[in-house]
Amino acid sequence: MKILIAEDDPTSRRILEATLISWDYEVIVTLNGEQAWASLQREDAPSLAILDIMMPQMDGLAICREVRKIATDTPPYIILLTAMSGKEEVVTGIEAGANDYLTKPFHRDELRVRVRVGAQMIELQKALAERVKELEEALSHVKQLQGILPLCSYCKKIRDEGNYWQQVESYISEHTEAQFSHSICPDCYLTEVQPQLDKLKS
Amino acid sequence: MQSPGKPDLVTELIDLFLKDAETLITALRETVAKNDTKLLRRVTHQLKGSSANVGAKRLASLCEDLEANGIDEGTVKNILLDVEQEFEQVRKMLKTERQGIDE
Repeated sequence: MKILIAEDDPTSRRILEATLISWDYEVIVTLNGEQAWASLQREDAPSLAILDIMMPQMDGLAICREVRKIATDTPPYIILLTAMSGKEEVVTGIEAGANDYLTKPFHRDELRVRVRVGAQMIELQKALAERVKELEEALSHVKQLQGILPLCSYCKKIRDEGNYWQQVESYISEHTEAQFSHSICPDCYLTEVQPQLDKLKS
Repeated sequence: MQSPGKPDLVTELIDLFLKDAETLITALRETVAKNDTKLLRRVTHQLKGSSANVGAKRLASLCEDLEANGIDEGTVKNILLDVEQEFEQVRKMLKTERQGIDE
């Protein structure tokens, strides 16, 4: 899985990079908000981003807000990094669209589990988006009958869109996925079949 | 985490921190001289973060004081002196640490 890092502090950045690589993540390193935002707009954008909240020009909060404006089925999972212990900043960050946060200097195991939760969320979201897509495709293939069908009171033919009177069987076959198997109901057996059999016997 | 032909990560981090902190402390002196509160906050915030990363807790705490105090000339200059002295201590300790790794 690809993880984006945006951190202007060189030591934090290097520690993060080395730690994530040691867990076999593919890491994309950016040094400021602009670079991070550019990377997140790419078609092959990383699905998880760890953004420092305080960076010159474009900070972590601004990136969160921009990212959340993009309409997508698979939005990136964002973890904000904050050096401050104040909870206000955390609330602002999550309101801006972040999924989680970590305080610096980060605790190695805390980073590991929080990234893992992020990865699970991404997988879940991806699976859900694929399922929705499959269902939408399936739905587009389903034909359905709606509205009022003009039916002849005597011969029971149905008038179609082209103003032709069709047998019920062919009309239904053309307009739905339904198929017919042929049989004889007990009433018709008595009125239609039995007399013919009796005639043959006599 | 060391592998052949590559510098040890701890050595690399010490070098990165020392280089970065020197730049930040120079910037800090300039911001104090210019009375630039906004920049002072940003620079001390950065120095606080990187100091905490290498375990220089006192230096990080001094930066926090500086960040909280903003520009109050007398206080800021005193804290800045403390920051510089503390950084010298940190530098010596980290250099000793680095030599231990190189040997």
